[in-house]
Amino acid sequence: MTALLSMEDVCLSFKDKRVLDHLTFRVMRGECFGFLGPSGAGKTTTIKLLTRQLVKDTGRIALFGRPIEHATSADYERIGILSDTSALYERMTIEENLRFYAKIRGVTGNNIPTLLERMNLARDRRTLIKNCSKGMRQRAAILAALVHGPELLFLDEPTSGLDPAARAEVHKMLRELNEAGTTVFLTTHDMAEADELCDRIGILNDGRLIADDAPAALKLRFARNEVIVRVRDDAAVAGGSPNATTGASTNASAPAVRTIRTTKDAAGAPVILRALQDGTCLSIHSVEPNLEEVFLELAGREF
Amino acid sequence: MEATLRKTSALIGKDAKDLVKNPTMLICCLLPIAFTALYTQVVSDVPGEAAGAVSLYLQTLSLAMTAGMVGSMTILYAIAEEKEKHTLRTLMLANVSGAQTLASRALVAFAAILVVDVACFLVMRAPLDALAPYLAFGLLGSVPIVMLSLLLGLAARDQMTAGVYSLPIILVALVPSFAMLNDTIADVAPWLPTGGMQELLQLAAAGNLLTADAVQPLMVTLAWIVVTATVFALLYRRLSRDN
Repeated sequence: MTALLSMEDVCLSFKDKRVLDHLTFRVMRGECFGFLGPSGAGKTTTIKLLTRQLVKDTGRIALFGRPIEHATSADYERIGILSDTSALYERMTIEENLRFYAKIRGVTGNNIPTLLERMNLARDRRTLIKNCSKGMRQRAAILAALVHGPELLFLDEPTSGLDPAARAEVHKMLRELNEAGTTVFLTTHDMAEADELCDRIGILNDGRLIADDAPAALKLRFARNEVIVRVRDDAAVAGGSPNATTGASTNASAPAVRTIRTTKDAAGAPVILRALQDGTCLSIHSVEPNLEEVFLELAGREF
Repeated sequence: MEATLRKTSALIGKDAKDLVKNPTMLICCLLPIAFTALYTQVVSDVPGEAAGAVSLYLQTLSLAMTAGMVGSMTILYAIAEEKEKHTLRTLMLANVSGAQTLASRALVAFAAILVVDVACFLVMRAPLDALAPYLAFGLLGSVPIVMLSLLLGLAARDQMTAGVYSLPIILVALVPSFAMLNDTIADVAPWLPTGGMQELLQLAAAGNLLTADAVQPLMVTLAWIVVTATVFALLYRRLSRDN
């Protein structure tokens, strides 16, 4: 895989405040890269640098393999951008806006009915933007960013303000786009969203990249030495001996089910084995941190 | 080049529709026509030779009103609204340049000025042979007003600021029309952006357009066009830069 965009040792300051601090990362072709961090971490600033809305102080930024300073207008035709403030024309309908952006991008717009259908906006296509809900506006703005079928899609908090159903639609569409080969650069402060959508995530804290890996790998790195075994309450394993031998704790989580916490190394093996042999085992789960806990471990503060 | 034309053409279509759908801008386009109709009615009973002078005065006044109101409002308000509602940034992110956006706004403003000029001319029932110079000098005199409006449009943060910025433009455009009321205004008027346009129209009406008298108003108008275009080119990058 080749890097579609990269940042190397990029710094940016606003007056005396360092906003981005020696930022280095790469996004490979076909990847869905999530850029995570709390508000004010520098996510939107990074997108602005990558889309020429801001100019870096130092470092190198490359887009489609060449320095961003040499990126041509044709390069930017291969990109779709949804910024945090993206907005459509209020006195035009959803469909008129999309047709306008299709014309701007030099495409026929034959895909517009399909796009509207996929984003559940087909019935509202003739609604003026000023009469649309926030969720409808956001979904329409996403469609305007991808009406020309971009190779690289920048999305700055695309599901911000959307209800769960609309979020699910956006997630589904992003997954389909990514599977079809579109490279996605996504910023979000929603850890669950990043976990669900992204092949790889970069975690930003106070302008510094503190992690850059696959979500599963990050969670594995900070995984606890703990396994949860759920057994039927009448089982012999729940009698107390496991606790004595392994240090595992037990507690009743439901009238007929007990939860046993044990270690996932050799010391915990007898508990698991006994539950399996007795036929009382209902489920075995390894305990992984979520991305918020990963952030806490890395940044030393809550997200 | 093809992409530039395609984008500018799409922008012109969008801006023209917006002009008709935006009540503020539409009213600004209708105001000069309404005022011209009102003044025509007021002076309709002027007798004999004075009628020709009054008609000429109405022509210069309506040109100044159209340049000032339509020229400034259709650009200033439109750009300010695009900034305020973030549609301008969305356009820029769709690989549309500031120059394309401004060119479209300017072309639509000139088209609106032309339409309003024709409507005013028909309303005032001036002799048809005066239409060609009326439109030609009307457009020429609008160029510096349009350039100033583009400049202030870039500087305006929102529609409220645009409202404040448009007032001096309308005043500057209208001042030459009041030259007959005050000696100081009469001295200043020929040097203002629409002053040359009015003098040229008066010379054309008197059949003196191709004389040495036309040089000064023509040069003043051209100087305004060059100065405003230069200032615009110098400040464009600075005003349109994000950080």
